[in-house]
Amino acid sequence: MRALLWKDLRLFSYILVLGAILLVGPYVVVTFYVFSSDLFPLVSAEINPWSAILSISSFFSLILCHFPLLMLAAHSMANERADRSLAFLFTLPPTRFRILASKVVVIGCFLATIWCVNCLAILIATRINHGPVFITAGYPSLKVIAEIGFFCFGASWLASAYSANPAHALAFGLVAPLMLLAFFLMTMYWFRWPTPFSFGVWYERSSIILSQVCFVLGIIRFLNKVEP
Amino acid sequence: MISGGSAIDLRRVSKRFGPTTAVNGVDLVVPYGSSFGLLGPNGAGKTTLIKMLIGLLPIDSGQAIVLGHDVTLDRPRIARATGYVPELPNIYPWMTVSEVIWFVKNLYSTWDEDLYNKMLKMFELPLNKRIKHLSRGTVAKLCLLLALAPRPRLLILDEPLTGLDPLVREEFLDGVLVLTRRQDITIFFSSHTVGDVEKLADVVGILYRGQLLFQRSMETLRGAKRVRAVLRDGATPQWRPEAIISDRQHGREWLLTVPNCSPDVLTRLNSENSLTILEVVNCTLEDLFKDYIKGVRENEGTSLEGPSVV
Repeated sequence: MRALLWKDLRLFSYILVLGAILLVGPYVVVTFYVFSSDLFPLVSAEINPWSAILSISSFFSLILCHFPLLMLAAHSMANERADRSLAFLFTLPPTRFRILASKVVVIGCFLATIWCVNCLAILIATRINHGPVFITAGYPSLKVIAEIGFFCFGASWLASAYSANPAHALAFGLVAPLMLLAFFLMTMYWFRWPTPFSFGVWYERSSIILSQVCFVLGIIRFLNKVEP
Repeated sequence: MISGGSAIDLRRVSKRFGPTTAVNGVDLVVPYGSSFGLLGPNGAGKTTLIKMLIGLLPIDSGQAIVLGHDVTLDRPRIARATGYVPELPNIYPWMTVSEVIWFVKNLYSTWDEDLYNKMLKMFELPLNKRIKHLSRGTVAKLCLLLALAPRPRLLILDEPLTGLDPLVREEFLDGVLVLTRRQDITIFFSSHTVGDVEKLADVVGILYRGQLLFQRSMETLRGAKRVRAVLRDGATPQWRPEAIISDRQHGREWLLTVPNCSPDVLTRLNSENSLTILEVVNCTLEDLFKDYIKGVRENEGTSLEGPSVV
């Protein structure tokens, strides 16, 4: 397993470096902006500047980090199929389950890192401010970010299990939430769903279910397809 | 464990790609410790058969038992005891030679450090170079090292010498011979180059259009002869030796390729047929291979330039 983990870390190294930049980048940019801009003093009287920095940065960081997460899902299986190295790997002793488990561990660690770091930043911002920071009140909630992010991830993961081109899998992951949105809008328009129809609730529920279905189908496909 | 007597046991194994039958009901038994050379022209189905043996392609029908395990049910156990060198190696191009070796070494519990060092010295591999920057010959040697160092019980070589220069071919074959000195290793290799098969094989099989035409020991084939006989006017062949490889007649001229062509066989051939001339010529494995394929093609009524299959 150690060798497989090393291989996957090396394979995903460029994406993980990008993820690290997108994780830390917003903190650096927002800190620089807050301390150099003339705008911040207008609101700084009411909130602690570090509280504002942490709360704003964490939201941007969390949203941006879903892009490398999506890239990891897209590259997970398609990348090794594209350069045929999966055929080499399949002639070696590890089972497909172990090969996939190694990928899931690497991606899972990245996912845990981005959420832990950013949630910790939000928690610290709230503590410093002795309550929620109003400056981020208009931003999407963590729940919505997670749901859409996971749906993109699941769709990309499934496409990667089928495709030999990571770019296709990435595009599918990006388009999937929009396709679901278009489906709901068309359903509302053509079938005139009765009010009160909570569009947001249905979209969120569907995203959660579909992300899990896609993830499981991707695993099944990888484990059962004989030809690499 | 299903079968303990043979390293490879194929029973009516078939594979289709759409309307094309790539492998058609192949029955094949390779005993433990033997070296089996699978000969066949391009597109005969050799690579497809090997991919099914190592579980890289699903078997449509029949059963493949390798090292006592069913390929479709127990691929990882087979992989642990099998070394595989493909025609076109697909090692991670971004890894360096030393990284690939470290990676593969950590996946086998049977890695033999002494054998690895011996082969590393023999092949002079550039440890710090990336795979994508290596020549084809160097990649082939690296593949052989990766296949042999874990001390496999079965070594499968799928046309590993294709496109290699004579020097690299020799180094590669020497590497294989280092291992063949061990008694318990079984070698299964495919090639369309007869010379390579002659060097390594104890048993030879010819695969043509997805079918195994024959499977004979090298010893039997070395005793094979080409016989040219001329029949008397109006005479027809009355007696033929058993298991002849090729049998062709053009007018009065009768051409036979006979395995184990002993003086007794020739005497009987002369006495039981009405012949005016009987000539015997030694033939190489390459001649036998050509005779076999030509014989099959003529029986099928196709020309030598006919379309290739698969």
